[in-house]
Amino acid sequence: MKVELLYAVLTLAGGIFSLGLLGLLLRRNLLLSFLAIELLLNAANLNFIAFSRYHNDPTGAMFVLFGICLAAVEAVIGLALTVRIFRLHEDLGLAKLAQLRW
Amino acid sequence: MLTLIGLGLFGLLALVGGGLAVTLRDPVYAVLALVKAMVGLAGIYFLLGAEYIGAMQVIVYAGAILVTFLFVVMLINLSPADIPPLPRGLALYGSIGIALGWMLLLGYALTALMTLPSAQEARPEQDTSLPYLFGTLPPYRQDPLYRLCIPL
Amino acid sequence: MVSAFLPLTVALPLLGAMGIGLGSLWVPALRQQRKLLGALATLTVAFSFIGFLAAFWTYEKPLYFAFAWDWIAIDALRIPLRFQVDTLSLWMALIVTGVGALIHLYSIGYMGEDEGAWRYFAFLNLFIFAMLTLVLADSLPLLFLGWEGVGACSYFLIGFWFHEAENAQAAQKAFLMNRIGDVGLLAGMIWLFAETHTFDIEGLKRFVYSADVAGSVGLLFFFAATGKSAQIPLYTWLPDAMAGPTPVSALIHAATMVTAGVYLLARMDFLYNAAPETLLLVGGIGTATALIGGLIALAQNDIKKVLAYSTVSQLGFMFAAIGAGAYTAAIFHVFTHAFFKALLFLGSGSVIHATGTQDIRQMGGLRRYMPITGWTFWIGTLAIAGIPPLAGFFSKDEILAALYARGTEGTALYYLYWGTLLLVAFLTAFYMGRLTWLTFEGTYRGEGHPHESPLVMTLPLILLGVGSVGAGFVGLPAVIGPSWLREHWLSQTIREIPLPHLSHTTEWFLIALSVAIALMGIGLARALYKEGLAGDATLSQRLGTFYTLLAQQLKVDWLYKQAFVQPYLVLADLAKDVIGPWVGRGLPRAVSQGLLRLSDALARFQGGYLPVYLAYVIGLGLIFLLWVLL
Repeated sequence: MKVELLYAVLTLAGGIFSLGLLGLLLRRNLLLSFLAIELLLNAANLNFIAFSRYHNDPTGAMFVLFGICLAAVEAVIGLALTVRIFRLHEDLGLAKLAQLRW
Repeated sequence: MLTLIGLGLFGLLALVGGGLAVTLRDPVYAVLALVKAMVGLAGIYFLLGAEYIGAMQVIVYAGAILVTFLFVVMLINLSPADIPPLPRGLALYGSIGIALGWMLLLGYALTALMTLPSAQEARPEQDTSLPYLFGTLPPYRQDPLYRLCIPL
Repeated sequence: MVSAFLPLTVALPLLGAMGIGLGSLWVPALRQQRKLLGALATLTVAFSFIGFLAAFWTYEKPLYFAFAWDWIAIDALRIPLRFQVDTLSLWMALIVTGVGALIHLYSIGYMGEDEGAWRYFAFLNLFIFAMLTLVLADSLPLLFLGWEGVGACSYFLIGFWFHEAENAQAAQKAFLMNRIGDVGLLAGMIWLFAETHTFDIEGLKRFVYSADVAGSVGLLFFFAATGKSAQIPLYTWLPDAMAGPTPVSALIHAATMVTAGVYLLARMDFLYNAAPETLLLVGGIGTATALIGGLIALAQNDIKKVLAYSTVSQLGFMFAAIGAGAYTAAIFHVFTHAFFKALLFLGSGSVIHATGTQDIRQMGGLRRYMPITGWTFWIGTLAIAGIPPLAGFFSKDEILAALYARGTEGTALYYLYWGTLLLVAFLTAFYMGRLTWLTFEGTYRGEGHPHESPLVMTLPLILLGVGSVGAGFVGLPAVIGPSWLREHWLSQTIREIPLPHLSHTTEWFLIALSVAIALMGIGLARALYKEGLAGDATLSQRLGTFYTLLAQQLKVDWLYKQAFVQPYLVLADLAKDVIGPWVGRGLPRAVSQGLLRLSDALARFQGGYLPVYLAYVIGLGLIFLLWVLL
């Protein structure tokens, strides 16, 4: 794998990461913030795969595998919490949830 | 070359999907746009020869996680009316931000190229003192990009 | 034998005060036994008087008795509770307890109906005890204890009817004025201690003082005396002290309190002998006070106010005597003054009791209704005016003679004092004549039916009347015979700078002059006030605005108010309006508000709003990137 391809993939990953960050900054809703976080995770995954290929090393691919598992677990727990919070507050606006305890 | 074209197409798919996922007001559409981005990413994985990961991406991400998202969105009946509109001037400030980001990136890359030993010079010499095992990093310690991220 | 009883003699009034005060506090039913309490209080003082009388008859040399424990014991400094019975202190103690006992007796009648009689008699007894402590103390701190005790008791008694704000204010005024003077006593005491390392009065006498030290300390003590004995500039509390019950006025003015200053200066004779030039100031202040008191007394219509200013004036005489170095003459005047001033005050109390007013314009012709009071009041008037052979004549004559004699030594200022005091003697005879004529002669101008007071009140009047007639004979003028008081009694304790000898002719001339002046004063008063109130109109017509000024008590109170009270009030207002709101409340509020604002501002950084936290992360990442880049 050539280094130019690596740079191209890295740039793409950077773009996706930026989009995820943008979403996290823009979205005023808990659920949609989660969506943006998924984007961030995927950008990182893409980086891992790119380097894994570049170095001919399976370690990066293993990281990605764990990352996907992690993402699945995180999504399940996060979504369960989201449903609980929604039941409690009838609202998922981050502005409403901006308190440290309740 | 074919790889680069494929990369461009799938990359575009992923970027557009991601962009729609963070900007669409309807949560259902946003989740579906994210599915599209996932599929794009899976394509890139295939292109890079990581077919197993690509398959996992489609099955677990697009198939399981995002469907769970979709399920929750529908469970709590999140409608577009619940989602506040995006701030105005996003396009303008977004463009300025992108421009600044590119400038930063270019500057970064230039600095890296000027200050770091070229990739050829710094080609890792095989470190014989430590055996290469799964999970160890020594082979890349001399890599300029690695040095850039972890300057130790 | 007698000395064994002396501690009890001193302690009796204290025991009486404690018994009456604490007993009534614990057993409220006792408070209703007013006559019993009064009799008890009178008896303690009377027994005390008898004890001192016994000591007087058997007196040979100064006696000391101390209580078993030291009052103050700090390292090497030991101040025992020791009392000194020498001729001076014994003489004062006799005056205090003798006149005090009569005033107590009188109070049974005067205060018998008052609900707070138990309080009154307890404080009255305590007053006597404090005064005894003052005169019998053998060290300055113990003297100071008595000094302060007298001040405190006077505060309690002047403000006895404290339900009226005016009385409470008079009490406060007396207390504050006294406190100003007390500073002088404390400072002088400490100065003396720094010089000699002893507080013992007899011990202090053994030192030789430089004129500077003696003069300074003497002036400090004199300043203390101006407070307690109502001299310029601190005399204004005394006329206001009339707010208390009349027997209290009698006690304060005659036997106790105001004589303390004279006693202190006589006790500290060694200081003034070491610095005779300070005496010139003492005499000047005394003379000026006598003049002012006598002038203001002319134009007062309140029977007690007239007597109060008369006291101020007579105290001026005493200090003039001390100014001449004639300490014994001052003590002699204290002695005679105690009789006739107590008599006058108790007489005025009897009148007030009968008529229910203090305004002499509402009186007149009272002698027909209350003959005993009237005749004894006449005796008091003639005594204070200086008509021989009544008591006031002898003491006043001795003072005038002493001043004149000092004048012959070459200090012309003493002639001025002498002349002024002659004028004051005239004024004294005049205003006392005016008072007596307006009160007891002519026709009754008030309403109601005045009646003679009961025996319990008239008996003290009669006894004091006898005293006012006879007391002067203990101090005969040199030309008639040796003065027993000076030559045989007080000379054992008091050391005086010898006065120059006056020729017999001069002495007779002085006596004739003072008698003539007294008669002139009385005569003028008779001429003006025989017809009742018309005399005041004549007087005010002749004197013009000066009379108005006198009626307003020379506006000294107003002046003091402008000079001291007003600035203080301005300062208080400043504190209330500026320092309070700005420094007291504004500053803390500003600090707390500032802190709140700061914490609000800081809290905004951690508002719990997720995108903001993310912005921090991004910002930090950018900063890190830039740092790497540059």
